[in-house]
Amino acid sequence: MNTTTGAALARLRSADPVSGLPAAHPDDVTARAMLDQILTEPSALPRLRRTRRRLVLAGAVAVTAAAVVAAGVVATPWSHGRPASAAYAVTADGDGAVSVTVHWDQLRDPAALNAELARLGARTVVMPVATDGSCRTGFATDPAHPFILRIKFDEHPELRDPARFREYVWSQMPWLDQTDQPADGVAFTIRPDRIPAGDTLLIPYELVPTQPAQPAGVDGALLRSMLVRDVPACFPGTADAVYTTNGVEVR
Amino acid sequence: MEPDQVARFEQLFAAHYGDLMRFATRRVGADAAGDVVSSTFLIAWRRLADVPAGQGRAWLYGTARRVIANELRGRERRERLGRRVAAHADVAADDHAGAVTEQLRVRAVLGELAPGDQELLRLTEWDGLDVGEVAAVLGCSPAAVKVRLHRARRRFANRLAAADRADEVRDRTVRPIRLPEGNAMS
Repeated sequence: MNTTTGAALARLRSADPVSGLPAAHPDDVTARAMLDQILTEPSALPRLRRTRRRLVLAGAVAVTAAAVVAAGVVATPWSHGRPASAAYAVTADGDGAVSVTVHWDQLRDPAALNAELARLGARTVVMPVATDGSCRTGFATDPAHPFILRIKFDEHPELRDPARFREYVWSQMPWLDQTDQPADGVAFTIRPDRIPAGDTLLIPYELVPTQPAQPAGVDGALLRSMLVRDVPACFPGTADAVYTTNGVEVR
Repeated sequence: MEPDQVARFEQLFAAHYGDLMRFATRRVGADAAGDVVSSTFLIAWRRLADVPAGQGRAWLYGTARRVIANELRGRERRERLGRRVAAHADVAADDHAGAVTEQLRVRAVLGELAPGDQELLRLTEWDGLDVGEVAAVLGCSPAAVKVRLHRARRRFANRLAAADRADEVRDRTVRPIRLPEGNAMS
């Protein structure tokens, strides 16, 4: 490279349009919110879609870590089983728990499901995620039970073991157990007596459309769960909101 | 996703978030850069097994280029981003007027080059990618990148020198017009 070319390239580097802008740092608030939101998303989604397995992202269950430490996300695939005969079934277990089975591709009326949950005192609301941009409402989750749980592996090295990690995360949500994996759906048990006083368990769900090469329909659903003081009127999609430790903030 | 994989993703994010934000800001403006970077890292999260060890930055840049291209293909998105790009290009930073003029002139010369040359120079001189990384981003061999980069640098230097000569000629021939006192122009 001769002197003329070297000088020209030096001038080009000086003309970088972002040279005068402040540097974006991965620890700033915007970056942390972005990372938190990404880690709430299902991982390895294309592979799961190819195998047509169903994925449950257990809600508060999105786990991240701070700074240089690691964290994990618990994702439970749904297995295939017998075809469902109804969109949902809700039963009282006698010990105060409420068992729910939902087949997402058949669920047309979440209001009816919620009415049944309310009738049995489940203190739980199931709500579709508005991915069409129709919802731009933010809200806060119970600050004592953050939506995104942070774990520092240097403080809890035993949780590097995937089985213990999964067990630990579920232990942080004693009000909810995933109990079964029926076809095209999920079965879980709500324990209303373990939901903190004044809170409601909110379970937003997001249907995953089938791949273009497959017959049109629903390939599964993503579930999250969180505790809220006031149930929002709607639940915005990730295009319109950022899911943070303390709730949902519209963009 | 196992904890170790999450740790790997967080390291990838921490190492390249800043660079990727700068990369996206240059191309779509500061407002839209966050969306591009978020989409890029989301793809990386979902395809972490496809991100080659030691080539994370190149993989992310290549993915970000496709994200930007896909975004720009959408009509509504294209119009919105286009306005942002235009606004971004027209906005001069708070800087000395002479320095701003110099930057705009250099960028204008860059903009006169063929798109392939522009991309090579942006990736190497602004993003700081090495030949191997550029090859990975563009999907060609390092040898091809070397040859094309050498030619692109030479073409840019020649055009910049020509632009400088043209400006010198203009400066010598254009003289300021002095108006008689009391003849203010409106």
